[in-house]
Amino acid sequence: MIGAQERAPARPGLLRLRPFWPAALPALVALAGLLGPFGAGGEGLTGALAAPLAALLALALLPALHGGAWVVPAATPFALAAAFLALLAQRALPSVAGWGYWAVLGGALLAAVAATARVSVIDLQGHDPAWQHRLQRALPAAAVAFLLLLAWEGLVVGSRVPKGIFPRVSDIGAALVSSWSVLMADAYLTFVREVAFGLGVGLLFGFLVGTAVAFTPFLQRGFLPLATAFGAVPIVGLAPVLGRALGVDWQSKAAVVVIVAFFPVVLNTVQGLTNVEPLKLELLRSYAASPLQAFFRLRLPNALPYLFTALKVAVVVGVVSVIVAEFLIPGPPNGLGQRISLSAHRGAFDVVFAAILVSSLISMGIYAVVSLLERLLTGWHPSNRGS
Amino acid sequence: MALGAADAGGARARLGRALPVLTVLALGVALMYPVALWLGLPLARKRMENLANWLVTTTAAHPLAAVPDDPAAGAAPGARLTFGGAAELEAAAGAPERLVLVKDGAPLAAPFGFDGGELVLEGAVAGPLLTWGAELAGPLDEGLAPGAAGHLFRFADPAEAGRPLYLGGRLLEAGVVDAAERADGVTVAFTFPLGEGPVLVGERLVLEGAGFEADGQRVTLAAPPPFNAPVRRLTADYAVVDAASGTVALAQPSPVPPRAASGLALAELLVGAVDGVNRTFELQHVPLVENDPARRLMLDDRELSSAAERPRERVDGATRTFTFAGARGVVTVDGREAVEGVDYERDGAQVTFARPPTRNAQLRQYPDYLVSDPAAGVVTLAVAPQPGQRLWAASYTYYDRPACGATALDCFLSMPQHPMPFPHWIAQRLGPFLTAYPLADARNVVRATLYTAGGTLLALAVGALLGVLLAVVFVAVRPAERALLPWVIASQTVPIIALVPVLLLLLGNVGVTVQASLVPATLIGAYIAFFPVTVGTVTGLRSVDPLALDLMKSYAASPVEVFWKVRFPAAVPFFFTSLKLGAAAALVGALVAETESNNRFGLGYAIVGQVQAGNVADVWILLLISAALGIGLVALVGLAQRLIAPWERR
Repeated sequence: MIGAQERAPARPGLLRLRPFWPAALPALVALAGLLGPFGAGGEGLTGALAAPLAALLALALLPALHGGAWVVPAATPFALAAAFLALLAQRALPSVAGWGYWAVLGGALLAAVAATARVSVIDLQGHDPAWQHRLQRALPAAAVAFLLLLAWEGLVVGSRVPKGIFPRVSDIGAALVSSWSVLMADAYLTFVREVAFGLGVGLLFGFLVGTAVAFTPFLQRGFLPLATAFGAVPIVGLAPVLGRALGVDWQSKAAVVVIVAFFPVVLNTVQGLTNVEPLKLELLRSYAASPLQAFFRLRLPNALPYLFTALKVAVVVGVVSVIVAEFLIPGPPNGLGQRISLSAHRGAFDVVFAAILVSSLISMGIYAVVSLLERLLTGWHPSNRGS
Repeated sequence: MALGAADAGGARARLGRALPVLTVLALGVALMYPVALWLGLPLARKRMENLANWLVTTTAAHPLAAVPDDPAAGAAPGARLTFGGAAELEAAAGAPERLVLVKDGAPLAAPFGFDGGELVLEGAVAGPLLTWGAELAGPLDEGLAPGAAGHLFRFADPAEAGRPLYLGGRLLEAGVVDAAERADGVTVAFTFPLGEGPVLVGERLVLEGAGFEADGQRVTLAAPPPFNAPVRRLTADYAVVDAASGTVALAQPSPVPPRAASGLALAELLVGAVDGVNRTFELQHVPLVENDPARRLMLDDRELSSAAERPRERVDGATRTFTFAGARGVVTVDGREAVEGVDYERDGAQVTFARPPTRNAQLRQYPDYLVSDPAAGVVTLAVAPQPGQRLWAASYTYYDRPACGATALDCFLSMPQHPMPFPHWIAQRLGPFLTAYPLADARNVVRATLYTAGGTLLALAVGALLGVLLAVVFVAVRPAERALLPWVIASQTVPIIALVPVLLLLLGNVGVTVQASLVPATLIGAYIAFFPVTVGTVTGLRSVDPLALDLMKSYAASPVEVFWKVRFPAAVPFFFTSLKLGAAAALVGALVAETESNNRFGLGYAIVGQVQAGNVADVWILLLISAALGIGLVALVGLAQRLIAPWERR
């Protein structure tokens, strides 16, 4: 365990050293690595890079040596920067990395991990400053993102893995830039023509059917068990069948999204329309409200949060399904799924990852928009009031 | 769900539960019929409208169907004659003026009428009505015993191969259709739009029972025909097997050879005014086959040429004067008729255009006639026939009717690949499909299902283990959770399945033969199942009642005790719920992995294989199987939940 839960001392003297060894030791190792060879042929660092690298590592070491709970995290950016610089230095060399490089990279990354971990084990209380709370929440997640990217790039660069086996982060970035227009055209097809259309139609149909089911006890008994069972059915398997029925163009893929979105929407609509507090219904009845009024004033608002839950599920599953559908329906070679499949088969992994990145970012964006809409439209709901 | 019959006994309650489900299921199945029609009928209609899918028929002057008593004597007025092609004549019977009697390639002047399908002469016909040709040689295929029955006969003079054949005084009807499939050297099953006679493979005659088995219009040959050999089937009495040698095949074996004859025939007049001015006429059977070698149009006793002449000069966009071989004809520019006196002036074989035709335009001169509209059967003659002349068709080929049937529904039913099958077709295919291969064969469906189920269960086990481990780490080590959980949650929106091709290639590089291994399915399924399990279990471990934690603290319980006694029981229902989500996802992952890795042992590969083979009903069966597999896996997780955590009952 990295650290027992402890309170930061009230005010340690600035020069009183209580080294935080989990961070300080890797930093020291990294400094020692500067003396070792960066290339397998024994090539060392050139002076132009050695000096700033040493400086960065020293800057990372100092907070770790100080050991103050809010001082140690300051080592994180310097350690990450040092790892980045080491990586640049190794990249310029003609060969596989030597132990010096691995020591600097590993030491710097480990130091960053430890320094970040230090801040997240501080047991904060409610009266502590807000910036401390915010830092504790944001720093680890942000650091991990950089860390993973650097580790990936560092490993692939250091061991000179061929591009056709595993791409570098920088390759992916380059592919993203060079095939930007192609990827955007693919994303337009996949997300606007297929996902958005499919979600819209699926939502509409699901809501209509769900409403019909909610007000028909017979259908509730007959349809709901089937709809629940459909959750376990690999609906994307329908893709080839739909491809045959609707053609290999975007329509069949949109149809997959429609079906994938349909079932969660039906289930949640029924739940939302029927899970109404009986007291409220009785109140409406005592006001002599018509069933239609009861529907629009009580049931529909009550169903909104359920609908948003279903929509969020449908967004996530829909994007996955559309990509699988593009795998399974080999149609015209556009769309992100087709791009991924085709690029993978010709070994262009940089394009594969770039396409995955684009699709993830867009689907996260859609998810965020849906969440925002949810907060705007259902902010009054008890489930959202607390947060 | 509220249940009215809950108090009315177990069996009735179960029925009350099952009945609505079954009803909705039946409704859903019934709904497949209109959907299948809705998707299929437009395709069927398109198929029906495509002339390439039509049966073509060559119509010729209809010879005498029955040999008159004394064919050499001619016929007196009032004689009744019957001609072949009764159905076509019947259609034309209302309009005898559209038909003409011909003999030896020239129309006769004898007027006639119709009476109940028979032709009644109103004038006399001189000379012999029928001239017998030489008897055919044969039978060629049963030469063992003299007088034995056989199918193949040969004209002494191959040039006579087009002549009408008589057998025992009866006119034989010619008819043959091509198979819908092409011979690729392997295929043995062929479908014919009609016909029930022997099959012709190339120039070889194959008999039912000996060389093929017929199931309606579907024929299974004993041996595959060689590559690109024409596969045809007799639809009428005989067919010309080889025009070069003059060989014909009879549908019914005969010990006596048929006999060729020429003589009186009933031919079709072209429709149009014969007034010395009109040059456009219509054929009666449409649409016409273009480039029809069998088309023979006659003006009285002269055969019109369907040839086209090219100009001697190049069409370079500037030249206005062109020279053709002949001094008359219909001149066309890019298929459109040019009008003499307006578009061009003629000076013998030289044609001078008012404006030069555009560069590389197709300039043609048709010396006799031109088919100006094949769809409507319109021909344009170079010279207008004079009154008294008769323009008649000795023979021509036209598209008769769609081969698939008379209506779009017929065509839909006979489609080789339906966009969506009728449910009862799926039910019919179920038995043969499941038992098509023995259990030991990798192509057996039950085996493939078990294989995929095994892969998914492995994936689920690995994914669940990893997920729970990670969840425990997250709950025990706060930094790990702070740093990683946001990314784990965010990565749920990443289409992980997109990594499948990458992962497969990586596995291939590591040395796994992905085509015959459970590793890809397990790895990818586990990868997909592990996210929901992690998130669900973390939520579950966190969902502990704070009061319970306080109580444990007051008992001075160790963290391990707290975990086992409080956190673990609280997490179990969350774990299983997320595992059910994971099971469905893992199945998708396993199917995609099998598809992408071409693992021929799995269900995913079978689905793609049947899709490519176009066996739509089989695809649906596989789909239903994978749906049942998904439901079964979730039920299995539910069962495990009841066994492992019996205290958790809702």
